[in-house]
Amino acid sequence: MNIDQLWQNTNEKAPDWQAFAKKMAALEIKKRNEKNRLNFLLLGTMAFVGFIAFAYWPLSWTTLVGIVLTELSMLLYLWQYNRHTTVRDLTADTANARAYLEWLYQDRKRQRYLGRRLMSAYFLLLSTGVLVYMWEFVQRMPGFYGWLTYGITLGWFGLNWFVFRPRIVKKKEAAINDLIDQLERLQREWPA
Amino acid sequence: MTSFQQLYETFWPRIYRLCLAYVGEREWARDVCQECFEIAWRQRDQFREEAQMSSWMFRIAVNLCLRQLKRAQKQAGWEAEHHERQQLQGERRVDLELQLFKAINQLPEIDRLLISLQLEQVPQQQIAEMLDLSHANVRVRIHRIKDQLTTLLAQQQID
Repeated sequence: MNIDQLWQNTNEKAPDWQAFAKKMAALEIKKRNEKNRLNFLLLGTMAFVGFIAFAYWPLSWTTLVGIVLTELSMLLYLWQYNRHTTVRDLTADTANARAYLEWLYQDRKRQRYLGRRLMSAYFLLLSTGVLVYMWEFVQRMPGFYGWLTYGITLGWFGLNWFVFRPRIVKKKEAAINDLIDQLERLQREWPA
Repeated sequence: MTSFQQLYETFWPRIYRLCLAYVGEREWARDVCQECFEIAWRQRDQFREEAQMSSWMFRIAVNLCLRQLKRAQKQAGWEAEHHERQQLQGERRVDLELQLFKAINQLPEIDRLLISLQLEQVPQQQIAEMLDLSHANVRVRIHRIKDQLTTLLAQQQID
């Protein structure tokens, strides 16, 4: 029995090239649009917040600190987002199998950094910023409504911080851990 | 015809066979193959040299195969497909091809990749580099795997 011949006999034609090229072009446009949309939204929000500071000057020091912290959090997010979508590790997909596993270890570290430290910094800056910013306006409200406003805002931040954020981080880490487990298992079987 | 189109049409059947031997399921192999070409497309500017193309495409495919986590009822998929094709075509050649892929799919994962790359006529030195093995190791293992496959196929025919 000729194994080589049998192997070559399994000949599946490539799916339609035009459809593939179209799909790739659409994906590129979609990715670019997503990136532009996020940049536009965050830059727009930053400009709007900046405009408030400019239009209602002079502001109390709490409002000013709130605005600066909020702007900083958005700037931090934008910087990281653009850094990680433009700098792609091109070697990862073409490295040899062992180097690929090493790359995954690095990627896990990077994701942990992004998911924990960076998101924490972003969240801390944003929530502190918003809470400090609100102070001046809440003071003008009757006591109960002031507390209610702070309660709702804190509740929303708490929900994001304690429920949504850990869930997203856990999901991302689980995916990469499964992959690493699989490759480590394979490496144990790897011929020396 | 663009050069990427040429690459796509030339390499699709080769990458597909490698994926099929590794994952053991046609639909799944098509998905992996598609993903492989998507990666190649995104990185097409990086690799223009014709000489590197084959090794580059296979390296992407090998990494993608290693990335595949188990899917449920993989074996059941094979059996169903085998039966269906036998019913539809009744050709001995098709049956033998399926038996070959089924036999390869029974090998350990690294061996599946080694034999598939060898059958795709990738030079052994390149296979060694892709899988980070010594050339001598690749040569010896491929020889053993071929013997193993011949035995497995003979057993399947008896069954």
